[in-house]
Amino acid sequence: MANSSNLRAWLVRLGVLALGLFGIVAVAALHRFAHLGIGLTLGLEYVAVTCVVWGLNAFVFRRLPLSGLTLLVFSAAVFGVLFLVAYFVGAVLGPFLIDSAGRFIGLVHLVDLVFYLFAVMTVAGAAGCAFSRNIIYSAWSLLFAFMGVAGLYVFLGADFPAVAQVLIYIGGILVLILFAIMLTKQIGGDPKLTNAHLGLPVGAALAVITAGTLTYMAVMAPWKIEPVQSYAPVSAGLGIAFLTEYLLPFEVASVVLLAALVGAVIIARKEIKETQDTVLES
Amino acid sequence: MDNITSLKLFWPESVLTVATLAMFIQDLLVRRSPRRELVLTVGALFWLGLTAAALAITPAGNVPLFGGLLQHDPFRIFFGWLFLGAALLTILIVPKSQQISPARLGEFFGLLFALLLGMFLMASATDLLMIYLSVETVSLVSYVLTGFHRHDRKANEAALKYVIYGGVASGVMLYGMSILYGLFATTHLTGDGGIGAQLADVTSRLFLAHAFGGQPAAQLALVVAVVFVLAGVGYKIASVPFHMWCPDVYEGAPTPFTAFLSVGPKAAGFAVAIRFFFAAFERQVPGGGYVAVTELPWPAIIGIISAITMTLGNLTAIVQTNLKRLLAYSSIAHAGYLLMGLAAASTEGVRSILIYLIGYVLMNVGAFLVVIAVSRHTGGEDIRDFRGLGTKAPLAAIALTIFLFSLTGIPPFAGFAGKYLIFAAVVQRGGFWFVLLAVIGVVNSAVSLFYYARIIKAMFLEDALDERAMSVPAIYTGVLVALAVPVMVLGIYWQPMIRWATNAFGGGFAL
Amino acid sequence: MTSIGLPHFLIVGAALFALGMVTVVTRRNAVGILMGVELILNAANVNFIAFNHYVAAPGSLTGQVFSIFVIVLAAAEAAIGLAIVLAIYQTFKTIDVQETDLLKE
Repeated sequence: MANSSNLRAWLVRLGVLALGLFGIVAVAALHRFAHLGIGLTLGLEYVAVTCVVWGLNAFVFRRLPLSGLTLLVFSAAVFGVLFLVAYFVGAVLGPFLIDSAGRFIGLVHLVDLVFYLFAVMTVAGAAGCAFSRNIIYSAWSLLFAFMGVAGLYVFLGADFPAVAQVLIYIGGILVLILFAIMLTKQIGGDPKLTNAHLGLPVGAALAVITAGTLTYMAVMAPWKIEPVQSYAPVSAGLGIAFLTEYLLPFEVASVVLLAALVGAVIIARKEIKETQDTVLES
Repeated sequence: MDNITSLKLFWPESVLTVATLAMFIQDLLVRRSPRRELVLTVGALFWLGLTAAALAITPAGNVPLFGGLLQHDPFRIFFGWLFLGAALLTILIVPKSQQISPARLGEFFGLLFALLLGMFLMASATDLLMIYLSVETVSLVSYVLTGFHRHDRKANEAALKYVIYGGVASGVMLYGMSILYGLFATTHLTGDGGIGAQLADVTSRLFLAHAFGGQPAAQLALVVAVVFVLAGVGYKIASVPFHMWCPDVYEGAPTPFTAFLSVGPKAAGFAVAIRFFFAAFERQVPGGGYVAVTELPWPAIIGIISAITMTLGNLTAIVQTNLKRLLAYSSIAHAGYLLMGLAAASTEGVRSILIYLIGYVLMNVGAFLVVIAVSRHTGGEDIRDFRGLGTKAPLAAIALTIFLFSLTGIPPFAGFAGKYLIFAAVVQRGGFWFVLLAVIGVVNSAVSLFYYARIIKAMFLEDALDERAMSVPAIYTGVLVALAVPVMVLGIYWQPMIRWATNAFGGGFAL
Repeated sequence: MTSIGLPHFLIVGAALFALGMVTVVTRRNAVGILMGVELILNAANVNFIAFNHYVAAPGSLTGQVFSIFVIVLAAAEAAIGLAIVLAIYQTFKTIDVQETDLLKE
């Protein structure tokens, strides 16, 4: 019995609270769009805030129910605070935010934003690879790093290397790495090195020193930058370069790939047993 | 020279390329033959002989090949002969070593030829791209040959370690090369507009001319680039701090390949280092000497690395009991001695390196050959396996003694000639630091006598573990004699070596 | 006009290089170290292509050619690395198989 009347009172307060919240927004909207008089607006807002404060009794003020004069005084105080906050946001902070956002949008080109997207993707992927404790997560982070680098290549007018990056690094090397991880997981232990490895603090210190030095160099060194940069497609130029100026490296690379192919097969295949050979010979 | 005309001076490398393919095909053709081992060895010797003939008929000259990617000069020819000598010894050693099964011999030889091709290119590369490509060729094939015993856990782990260290070192080298490319907008070391010419020409790149006055960032970029490139080279010659792979790889790899690895790629690494520094950072003056183009303190960097490398190699070698590991640390120490010659940054220094390398190929391969002969008998490579060798196989024991004394640098052996000339070149350079470096070198040689003598003591003064008779194959005896005699002769009669070295590095490199 | 220039790309390259080095020195797992090596190679490639775009003479493609060779050799290296890992895996397995054979006998 008591429970059901408490429940009904709670529901009523909840309804009044919702009504009050709706009222605050509705009155503000009426003032803004229907040119409701300022006095009437403030009065109605005060009523709505009072409704909200009374409704809040259902929740936060359950221990100390406000009613009568206390309620009116308390809601007046709340109304004052809210009015100040609203005035501050609307008249001071708002224009400032809108102004600076406008300036920011004027400052940042879409192109730059896309660059930063790729740069963050690359560096975050690399960081994930470096610091993740789970090697599978590291491998997936590497995917993002490779993708980001491919995006950067596009930015630099290197369309062919970008595609090669996606095809070979992601399609080839990353798949190989995932295979290797899964195989080594299966045998229970990682193939460990006997050399001592350094702890994470030393590693982080090394990263800071290396990155700091190289960044200083990147920013400060007097690189001689050409005035005009080309974004023309490069595939045809690369093809010609490979068959004229860089013919020798191209051919040597093919010999290296052959040797690597044979070598990988030698190492990975099953051993030819001498007994099998003699069987074949007989 | 353009691509077509360059081919006329490119015969040795072309033959090696064909030889690689031919060995793979021959291996398939003789797969069923019972005399496969013999047929394949003869085939390998044939292709090696053909390469030697091609090298012999290559006319002398000093011209850039393939538009400046390679340089044809006596320096390249000298290293070509050095590599062919090391390869010949390896091919003679392999069949009887019981380390490579006859079924795998064809592949071993094929990959060895690919490795030789990479080393030839290393010795002539004058372009950052060719240096990277040839170093990677040598590395990739070396990984495979190290892990050739695929059922041996030690070999597998050695190969894995080699891949990892090699990958890191070549990656760091590549980053250094990218900075050089950014500074000079070219990858050519020599020729018009090459890095060497730009550094020498004060007007072409003003920012670098001022680099050492008002532009610390440009100086930093150059130093970082050079140090990073040194990482790749240092890994190939096994110098500190890129020596960690060396003992494990030497121990895990098949011993005939260890012997080759300890001399061939190391010599090729020095060829790259000499060419890199002398083509880009030094300028020849009319008197015949060299002056530094930049204020880049590369001799000081090399000198410090050299001192640390030889000290660490020798001190660690003292506590080793496995002879392959001991020789690995000894080869690290030798990389340190050789770096001293580079640190001298003079014509004499480079010539002394070349002379040292001749002796080093003979004595180091010889030492490994005795290790192979002993492990054929005892199945082990520990120092205790060498006990009583003096009575069991006196010739092998005497030969090893000669090689070890020569490695120490005691007269009258070839190792002494090289070491003496290196110390002389360093002292000749003058100044407190160079003399100190020479003193460190002498002290290290004394330390090395300690662990080499331990082996000699085990061979002659300690009793054998068992009384089984030890048979040394006739071909091993022949090769041992063929190695020990020149080690002694060249230790007394230096003139031929000096003549070869002067011929190889006489006029220096054309810019 | 975009405000992105050469230093931006070089900084990304430097960050990749540093993170690659961290991966190499802190990881125990061999495959993890190989991933660090790939990061270092990518760092160098970003540098090469950035320099090719900003520093090289117009029409010169040296940096891009270099990067293609790096990608090719990285693939070869990864293939050999995986083959060695596979060999280690198979060595483990053969040991197991032999043990079970011994038990049967």
